Amino acid sequence: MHNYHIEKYDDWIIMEIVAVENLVKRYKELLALDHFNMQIEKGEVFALLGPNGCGKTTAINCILQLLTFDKGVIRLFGEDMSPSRYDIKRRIGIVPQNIAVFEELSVRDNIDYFCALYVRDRHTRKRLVDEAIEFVGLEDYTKFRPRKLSGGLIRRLNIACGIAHKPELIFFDEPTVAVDPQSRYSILEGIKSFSWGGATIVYTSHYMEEVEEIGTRIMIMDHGQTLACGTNNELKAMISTGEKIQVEVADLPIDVLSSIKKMPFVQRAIYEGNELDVSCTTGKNNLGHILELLQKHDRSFGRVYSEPPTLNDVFLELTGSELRD
Amino acid sequence: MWNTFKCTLLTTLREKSVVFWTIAFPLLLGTLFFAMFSNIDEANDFDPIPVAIVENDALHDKQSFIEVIKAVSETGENRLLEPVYVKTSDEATLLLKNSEVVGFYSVGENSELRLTVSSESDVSGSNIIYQTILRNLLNTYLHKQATVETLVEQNPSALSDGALLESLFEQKSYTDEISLTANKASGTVRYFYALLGFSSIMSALIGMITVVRTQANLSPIGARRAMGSVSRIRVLSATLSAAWLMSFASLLIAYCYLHFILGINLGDYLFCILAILVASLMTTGLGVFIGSIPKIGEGSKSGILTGLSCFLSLFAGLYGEPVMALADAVARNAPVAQLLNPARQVTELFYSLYYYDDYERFFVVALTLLAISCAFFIGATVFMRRQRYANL
Repeated sequence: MHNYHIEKYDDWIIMEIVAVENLVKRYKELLALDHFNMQIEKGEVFALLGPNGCGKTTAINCILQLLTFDKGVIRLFGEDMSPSRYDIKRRIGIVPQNIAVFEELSVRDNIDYFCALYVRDRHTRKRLVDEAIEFVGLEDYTKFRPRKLSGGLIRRLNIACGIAHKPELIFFDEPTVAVDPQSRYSILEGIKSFSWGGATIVYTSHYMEEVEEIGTRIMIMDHGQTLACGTNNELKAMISTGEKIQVEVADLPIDVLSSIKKMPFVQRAIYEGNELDVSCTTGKNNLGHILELLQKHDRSFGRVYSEPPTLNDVFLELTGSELRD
Repeated sequence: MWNTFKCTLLTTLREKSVVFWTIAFPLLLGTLFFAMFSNIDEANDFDPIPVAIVENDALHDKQSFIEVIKAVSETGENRLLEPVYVKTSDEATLLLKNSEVVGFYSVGENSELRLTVSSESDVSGSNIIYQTILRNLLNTYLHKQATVETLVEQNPSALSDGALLESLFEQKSYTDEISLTANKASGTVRYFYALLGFSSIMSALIGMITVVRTQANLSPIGARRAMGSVSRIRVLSATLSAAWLMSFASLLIAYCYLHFILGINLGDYLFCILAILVASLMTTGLGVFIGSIPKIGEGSKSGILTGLSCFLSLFAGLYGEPVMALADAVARNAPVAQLLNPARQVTELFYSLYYYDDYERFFVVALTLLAISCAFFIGATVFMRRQRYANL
């Protein structure tokens, strides 16, 4: 995917693009959103992370006024949002989780049609459609119908239909579900370039690696509630879990393993098949201390690997369950 | 708005189920009906009766009979016989045994004219009729011959009276065929009206598919459209107009095929166009109504519509003579049910154009269909009035 630039902003002053306060949404007995709050500033790539069914898509659909909600206030671009605020809708792009294109129209006609829902002038639209096609890399497929495209290319078309009119605020609802790694990389690179081009992005996913890669700020959700919100580093700093250390050691005596387990920053230590796995709490130079202890007991070691805490660790510590559950 | 209109036209035109059910299927069924019913009509046409004439010396004495045979065998609309001249009775008998002729005329030993036919147990229904015609022809000839001979014997001067001779040889019919309807009644044309009724109901598929794609709670495309900056009323207006146009065009194609290609007379041309316009509006309303029902998928709605079309067409008399009798029985005993059956009303609309002398009945049915259309659109509006939904 190539460069993306929003053409015009007439309200650069407004910094808070999305503001959601105390949003409550029920599906009969199920509380889908429980006093949900969200503030997104201009130019952010705001990632909503949570397991399937946690309320990410419901939150977006409420913000976009597609779903009714029981309570709460939603403001976009500093103004109250309602279904008939077409002036606000003009500034929004949506890339839904489900593919929403016409099977009967070609790639170009699809993009042109959805762009026409925002841009009336035919000449302007032609330029925008060309740019969108180039942006998602579908130049060779403009006359193809969707059924002739691979899964990854259809996802790109789905994106092009949502961004062709150069929106200032773009919602991506799990755009990489069922996408091959190459297309996923391409999509994520594209989303980054939206941000560089000046757009504000709201990105939902249950893939923590993606969220870590592109999110300037991340909100972790579960059961319709916000568990934590902050930058990647801020979130990881919220938990006591630190790095995971793996050291290749031949013949580790039990007394040495016991000494490692007794180190104050060690949460758990396992020795199996010449590999020592140590889970640590947050702290400085944990790896150095472990290697120092091994040297002290004349233990030679081979490969050493240290992995910082992940968002899954954050989720695990906050909820007591794995994010991928 | 124009883009939505154009998009709706293109997408429906490229939707295989729409093309098959609303355009191809009526043409196929129309062709099938035409092939079936043209045989029935041909069966009602009279074919000259193959008859053998034993042309021997004895026959040459019966010059007046030879002239009669020639007269009724002359090529034309009123041709009655298709004579085969043979030399002997044996040849004629062989032709009769081989069913190549219905009977044969010959002159007997006493110079009397004879008609020989197969025994009634050996012949089919139509041949019995043909035998009767041959018998009547001979009887009439003999009766008039006897009359003339009596006149010659008893009152020869009467033969100079032209008026008497004219009345003697006049073929007088005591019945006169008149048509009670504007056009000649045909037992088969009803099937084509029922076909148009069925086609119109099937074209409701267009309205259904298009409306599903405008509603956020019914399809992902509808959700994406709902997020556009074109107002909902504009999107709906453009979509429904395109659906109406498509339904109108599909019915028009069916009508033109029946009328111009198959040569089926369906009534006054301009009023037929008006009828198609009204029928397609009603059918769009039906499709929009079914399409707007929440919490049912597009596939299920398509199934409902197909089932409904077949069911309603049952009472419009699409499926043959017994079902037509059933439809007529329902019309007599439960007129309200038929009044509310859009397929039947479309059938009635065309029926009124064909059979009635004036357009009073046509306008009554057209108004009924418009009222049904209004009911469908009001029902659809109730379902579609929401812009936000409890569930998607």
